[in-house]
Amino acid sequence: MPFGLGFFATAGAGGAAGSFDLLETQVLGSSAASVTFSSLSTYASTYQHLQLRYVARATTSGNLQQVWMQVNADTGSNYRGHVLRGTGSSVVSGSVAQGGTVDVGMVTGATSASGNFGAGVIDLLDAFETSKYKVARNLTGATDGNQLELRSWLWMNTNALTQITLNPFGDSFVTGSRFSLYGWKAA
Amino acid sequence: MPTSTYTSLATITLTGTDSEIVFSNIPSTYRDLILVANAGGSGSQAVKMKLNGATSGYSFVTMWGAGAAAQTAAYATEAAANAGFGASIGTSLDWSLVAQIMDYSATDKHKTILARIGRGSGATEATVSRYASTSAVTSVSLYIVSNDFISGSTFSLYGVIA
Repeated sequence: MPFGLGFFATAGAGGAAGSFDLLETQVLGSSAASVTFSSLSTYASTYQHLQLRYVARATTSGNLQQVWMQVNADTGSNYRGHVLRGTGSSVVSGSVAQGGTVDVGMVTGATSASGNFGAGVIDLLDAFETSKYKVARNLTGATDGNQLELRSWLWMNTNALTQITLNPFGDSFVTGSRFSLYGWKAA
Repeated sequence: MPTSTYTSLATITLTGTDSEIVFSNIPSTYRDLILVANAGGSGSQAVKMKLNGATSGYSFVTMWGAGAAAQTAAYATEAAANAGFGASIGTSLDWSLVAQIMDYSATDKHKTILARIGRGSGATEATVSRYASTSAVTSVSLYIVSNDFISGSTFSLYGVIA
C-alpha cells in the first residue's frame, strides 16, 4: 500500500545569511515592452554570479515567443548564442550568428492556453569579472507549442554587468509576468 | 535589500522501500520550489511527479540522449508530470533529478516545471512539464511507474522567495 512520508520542517526564510540571495523582483502590473534590472554595480562587491528566474508570457500572436537579452544597454553586434531544442518531434541544434539581439530563452504567446506561462532559469556566471566575456546558460520551455531549450549566451565584452534587459522580440510581456534576480556570493 | 533564500524545507531519506514520496503541507511563503533527488528503484521505469495529488491535467516535452541520436517526445494529456522518461530510474542509486517548480503558489498561472534528470548508466534528459491548474501547490509527490524507490534514496525540497 502506498504511503507518504511527507513532513515539513518549520519553514523559515532569511535567518542566518547564506550564499544565495534574492536581489530584486519585478511582477508586471501591466504589460511591458521589456524588463530591465539596472544599477547592478551595487552588487558587484558581494556577488560572483547572478541567476534570473522568470515565468512570463508575451502578447505575441502564436503559442511561443523568443526572448532576447541585452546587457549594459549595448545594442551592438556583440552577442552570440547556441541552442539545443526539443519539440517532441525533432531535436535540433542551432547557432545564433553574432548580432545585437540574441535569444536567451522563450515564453508563451497569446494563443497559448490562458494561464500558461513559459519559464526559464538563466545563470549568468562571473557577472562582475572584468577579465572575461560574460556567459549565460538557460533551461527554458513551454508546452502548448512544445518547445524545450538548453541555451548558451555570450556577450563579447569584459565590462562588469550594470544592466540586464529582456525583450520578447519587440512584443510585450503581459501582466503577471514575473522576473526575479538572485546573486550567488563569492567565498 | 538582498534577502537570503534557498531554504531547506524538508529532506526524506529512505531506510526501506517506498512507492511514493510525498511532500505535503507546503506553505505559500515561497515563489519557486526546487526538488532535488538522488535515488534508485526496484525496477527500471519512468519516474513521475504529481502536484496536489492530481492525476490529470499534465503535459510535457522532453529531450534526452543515451549515447545514440538525441531523442524527443511530447505528451499533451497525462496523468502526471515527467520526472524521468528518457532518463528512467534504475536499480542502483545513480539516478538524479533537479526540478524547478516555478511560481508554485501563484493563483493566476498554470504550474511549469523545468527539470534536469540523469542516470550515468542510462541517459541525460531535460524536460518541461505543465500542470494546467491555477491552484496553489500544497503537495509534491514522486513515484516510479509500477516500482518502488529503494533504501538510500534521498529527496530534498527547497523554497526560493521572490
